[in-house]
Amino acid sequence: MPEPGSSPRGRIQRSLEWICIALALLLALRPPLLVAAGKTQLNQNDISGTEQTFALWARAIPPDARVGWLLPEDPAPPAIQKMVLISQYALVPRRLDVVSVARCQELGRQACGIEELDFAMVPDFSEASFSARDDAFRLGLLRYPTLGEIQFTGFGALAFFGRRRR
Amino acid sequence: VITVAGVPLALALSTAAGVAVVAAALGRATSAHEWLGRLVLGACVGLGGTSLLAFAWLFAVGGTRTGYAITDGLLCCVVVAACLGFERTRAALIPPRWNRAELVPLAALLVAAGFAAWQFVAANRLLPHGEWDAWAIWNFRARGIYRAGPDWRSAFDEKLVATSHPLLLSLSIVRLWAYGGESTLAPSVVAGLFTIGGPFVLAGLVTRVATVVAGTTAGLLLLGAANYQLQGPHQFADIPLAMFLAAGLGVLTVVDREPSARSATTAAILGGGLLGFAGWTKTDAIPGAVVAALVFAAVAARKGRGATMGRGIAIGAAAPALAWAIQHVVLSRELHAVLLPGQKHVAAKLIDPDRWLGTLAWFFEHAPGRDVWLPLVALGLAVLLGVRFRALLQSQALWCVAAMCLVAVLVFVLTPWDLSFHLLTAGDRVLFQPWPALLFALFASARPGPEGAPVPAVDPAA
Repeated sequence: MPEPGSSPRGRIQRSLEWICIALALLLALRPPLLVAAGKTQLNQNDISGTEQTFALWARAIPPDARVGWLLPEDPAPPAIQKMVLISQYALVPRRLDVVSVARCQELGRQACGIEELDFAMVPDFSEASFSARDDAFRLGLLRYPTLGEIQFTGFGALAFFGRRRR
Repeated sequence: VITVAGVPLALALSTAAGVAVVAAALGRATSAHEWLGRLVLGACVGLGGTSLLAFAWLFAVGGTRTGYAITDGLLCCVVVAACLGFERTRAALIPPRWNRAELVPLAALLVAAGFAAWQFVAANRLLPHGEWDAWAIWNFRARGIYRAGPDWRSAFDEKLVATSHPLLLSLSIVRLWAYGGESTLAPSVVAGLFTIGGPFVLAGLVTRVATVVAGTTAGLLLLGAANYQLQGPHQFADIPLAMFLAAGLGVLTVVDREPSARSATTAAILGGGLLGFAGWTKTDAIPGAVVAALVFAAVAARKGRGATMGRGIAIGAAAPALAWAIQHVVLSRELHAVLLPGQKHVAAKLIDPDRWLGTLAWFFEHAPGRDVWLPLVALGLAVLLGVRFRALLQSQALWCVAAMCLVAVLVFVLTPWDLSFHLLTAGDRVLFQPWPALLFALFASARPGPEGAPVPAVDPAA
């Protein structure tokens, strides 16, 4: 009985198999080699820094608290929406409610949901949010009891107040 | 220290249980490729099975802190002991005799996997929380359940995002945290297992039904798609889903070759379980899994094995399907949204040629490995390895993949969102779901040359 691959047809078959493996190996090595050569950029859309910033708040807020984001603009720009999601990811299991300042102005404190909150935050990292914060302050949605309660984060100040219902 | 020791311990226990179950279901491996593939498949099955246990624990006891890890570990040991009670399992765990012809293909696979692992680690260091869907859905839900303790149901508060997504990944992460404490290591390990282990699973299953070279080529081509290796560290659910679907098709293909009704039933149960785990990973997988179950049961019925196949798939898929149903009815209460997703103008969208052409053109431009024409290269290599079009047309797995692709296209044709936006944000991930299954279907029909090794059609242990 001939050895496997000893006949001409068998040798051709064997060669084809080698070609297949060699080509497939080259294709498999291509993506990491392109990364190593700097031809492909790895995704650097990391949220660690932002997440850590919000995680600091988690230490101060009880797990069963309801936290509110007072959104300065309605609808919020995509960057702020992403920030809301990251803060929810950092603060979970605390429930994060998005409260529109414009809605509070239009409907009042009861209807806009702010009365349900234990804590509220205002993002302070865009130009627009400054006027919204002032609006919220004027409406009595926010209080700054002491300077010590205004925390500074990587984005600027986050106004913060707490009034536990329970 | 607890994290570094706890995560490997949790993974080792679930892997041991999963490997024992796979060995009991499939019997003895006929090659090193297959044996290695089963090891990884066992790790994936272990995660799926323990996620179901975690789900049951949450309902029965509450949070995953007190006693959960000990109970989970003990149950894993019980599963291993129970499976080892069967001679078939003990024989299957012995590595097959070393075949020199496998050396180079296996080395090629290991080298490629090593490079992929290096890239995964490098990318993971830049994205420890993963990308959008990972931190906004899967890891988020895991945090909610783990951190809330006895109040774990708060993780399904209707005000939170995407509560309807199934829980295999999230509960696997919760389980690793229960052993080792909360860290970004656990989700990275789960993502790495499926990303780096996927080619071994694929290679093992193709080797089982075709040849070692075909198996190796399929595994390598899976890594050949650059976006596969880039998506892995993003910690999305689509790669685990794709691996479960491909493994389900692979195991159901093996059922046909089992010599006895009993061994065919156990293999069908595993195949059904894998399809069930795909749906328990992400709801997107359910249409493909249902089509696969129907196609394999129908073809088996023509051969007089319909009852064996149908019963096996139903038994295997029952637990994940039940968990999925309980989650959607009891916890997230969004069953209606999944079954009736509020589609409007369905008929108008279906007959709109622009939507079809737009979706198909986008799919064509973003196909896995499109930059190197990988789908065509895969087809060419499959033909070189003895695949014939007639055999492909008769392949049950290929019909299932075709149905999965059609479902993927329909998802976008009927999308309630803006088509361009939906394609841009989800298209490449959805396109990846049938890719490993397509590679399996292509290379499973490969046949050895005139003097090559015979196809391992019969389980020697049976």
